[in-house]
Amino acid sequence: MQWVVEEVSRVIESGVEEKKSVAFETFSLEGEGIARRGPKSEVTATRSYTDEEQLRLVLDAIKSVLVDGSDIRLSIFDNLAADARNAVIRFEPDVPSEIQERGFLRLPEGQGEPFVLTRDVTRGGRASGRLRHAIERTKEDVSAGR
Amino acid sequence: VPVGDELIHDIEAVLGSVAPDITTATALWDTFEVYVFSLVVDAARRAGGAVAYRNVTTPFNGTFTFRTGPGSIYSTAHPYTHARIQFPNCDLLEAHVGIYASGVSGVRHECDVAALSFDEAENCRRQQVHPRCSELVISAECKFYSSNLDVDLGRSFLGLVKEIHQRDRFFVTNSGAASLERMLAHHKIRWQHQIVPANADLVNRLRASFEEVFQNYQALH
Repeated sequence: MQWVVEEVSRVIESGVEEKKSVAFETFSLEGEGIARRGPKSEVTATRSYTDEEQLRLVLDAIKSVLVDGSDIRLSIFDNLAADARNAVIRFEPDVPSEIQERGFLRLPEGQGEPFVLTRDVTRGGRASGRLRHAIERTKEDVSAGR
Repeated sequence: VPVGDELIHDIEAVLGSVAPDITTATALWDTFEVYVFSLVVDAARRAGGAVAYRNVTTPFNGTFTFRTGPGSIYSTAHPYTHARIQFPNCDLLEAHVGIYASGVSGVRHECDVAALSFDEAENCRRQQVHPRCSELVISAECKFYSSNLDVDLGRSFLGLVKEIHQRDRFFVTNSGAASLERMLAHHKIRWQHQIVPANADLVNRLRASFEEVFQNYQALH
């Protein structure tokens, strides 16, 4: 799950983009600002995330991976094979098996590794439902300053 | 802000109930592509299409096989699964996950989810070439991220639609980012964010967009 921390860190490092209304000025050679006529311009600025926002990003990331991920796996079975109780979904890299077995293709971070989904993934459903509520409660606590 | 023991316990419970190999970043990317594929298939059904699954090398037996990375529509490395979609009085369509298509420059590009005619797909399988982007009825770029999307992804997609045409090309993500969405909207790109089952309204909106494409396909064929 290190990748989740890295993704959130990347977002925190990038900061938040915000629109700002700015009255641009003309400057004299001495650096003195001289107001211009006309409306203010809307421009983009970047600020840092607050501590509370950073915590929300972490909570949202956990929810995305563990709660939404579980929901997505369940929905795939419902959408593709609602009637097939024994349906299996395999993920395989698009390389001939003899090349795969020889290990010629080593991709970073387990990319391309085969894996399998079965309806057993629903086992995580109850636990992920509890986690969803716990995350929502924590976010409410953060909003309330508790 | 202190994080409660209860939250940590619930995180541990979920982590303990799922196999570690399905919570890697790349497994979630692949799974999200198949989720969007399943929405395309569902949209086809709702638009009046009959759906059947086919494997590239063997008859479909209830086991779906999808790619962990982009590949060729003609690849027989594994029995990759696609959906056949038949609308009344229309040419047969196919929907695929993770195939290459030829861009207008002749360079290949990955389409995370694509729908195209059976004729185009069968020609490509027999002649071992990638489908032409002009023949893609739908193409969707799918992005699963645990946090906000970087604007670079939007820039890449803008470049991609220059290569594979803009009409009925979708940028679909479980996440979002205001700046990226502003950029895509400015360039009149079709996009949908927060696509996860819990957001039923947004999922319905995306599925309705796919249905609209199929409805137009039926009207034009």
